[in-house]
Amino acid sequence: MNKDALLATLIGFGIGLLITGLLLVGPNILPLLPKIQLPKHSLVTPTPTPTPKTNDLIIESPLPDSIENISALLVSGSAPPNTTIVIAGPSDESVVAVTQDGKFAGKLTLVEGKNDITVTALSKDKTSAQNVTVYYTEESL
Amino acid sequence: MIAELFAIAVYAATVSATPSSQKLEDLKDRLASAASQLSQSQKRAVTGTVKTTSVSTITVETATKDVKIELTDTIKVIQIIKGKRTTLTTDDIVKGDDVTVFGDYDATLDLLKAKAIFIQGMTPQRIFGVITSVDKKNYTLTVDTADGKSIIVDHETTTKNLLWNKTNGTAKGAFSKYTVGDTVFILETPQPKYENRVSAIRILNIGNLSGVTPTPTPEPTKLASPSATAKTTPKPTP
Repeated sequence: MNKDALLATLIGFGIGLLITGLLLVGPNILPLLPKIQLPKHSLVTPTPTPTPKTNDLIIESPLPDSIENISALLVSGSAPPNTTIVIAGPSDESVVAVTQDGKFAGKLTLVEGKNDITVTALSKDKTSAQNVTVYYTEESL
Repeated sequence: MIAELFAIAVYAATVSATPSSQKLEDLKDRLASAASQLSQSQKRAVTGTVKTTSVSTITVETATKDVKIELTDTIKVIQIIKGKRTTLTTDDIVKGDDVTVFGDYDATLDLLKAKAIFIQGMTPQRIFGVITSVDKKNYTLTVDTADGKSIIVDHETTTKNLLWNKTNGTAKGAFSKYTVGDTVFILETPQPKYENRVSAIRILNIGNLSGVTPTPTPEPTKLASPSATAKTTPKPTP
């Protein structure tokens, strides 16, 4: 047997011993090693705080004194659930029910010039109303 | 060597950043100027009655203050005449007209540069309330409004009737379908000769929401004339 073969055998035996030793002793040493903690990043998106439900009738759209250039107008807002909403304009009306999350939306037809819009929320025991004025013209401003 | 390279890179970055930062500053100035102009001159509409007129300006009395209107060369004056949208001139605007003016409002000059003026006719009004009586002979409804008024509503032959319920939505209505206790939304024109009496253009009936029927106003009953005698049917002779 030449020297090189003997050296390779010895090295192989040594590595084998080292691996065996690690397998036997390793589990007992691991708890003693210092633990490295990674910074915690929560993957859960924060839930937005729900806006408190009000019992008021609010017109969210259109904005007061806004100028429209289309005669068809969508009126939307919030109101107490289980109420009937009547949106009354200068030429027609729209009757809609409020959704469970307290929202409503209805269409109206505008006339040229000033348009006074009244939104009335009706329930068995309470009636409330809000007004908004919008302007409409066919002319390009 | 490395230090030299680093110094050159820093110098190059500084040299190239200087013109772009100048551009950024210019852009900022222009944006600020545009925003300033925009805030000073913005699209606005005012409504009111014409107080004074001249060749180049008019003054409109609104609910809160008098607004000076500048009449531009490209202005359009519109009015609905006999149901038709008619284009007029600024000469047709007279004192006392109810107008809606659209244009650019200059806050610094407190002036509205008019682009379009709409001469409003008599605008219909709206009332809503609960029916307290139905006169089927004279085709009138008595409606109690939320502000405590009792209004007689004349149902005309041209009045449009609409009936709404939760299941079917809005459908065509009729005068015969109005009952005491129904909530109605009325588009009307006031009758100048009579107080608390209106002429209905459009009535939306959404039914009895409260479930309570108000006691109807008793109508005076006509007494039978004394000359009226009951007729007896002659018995057939055998």
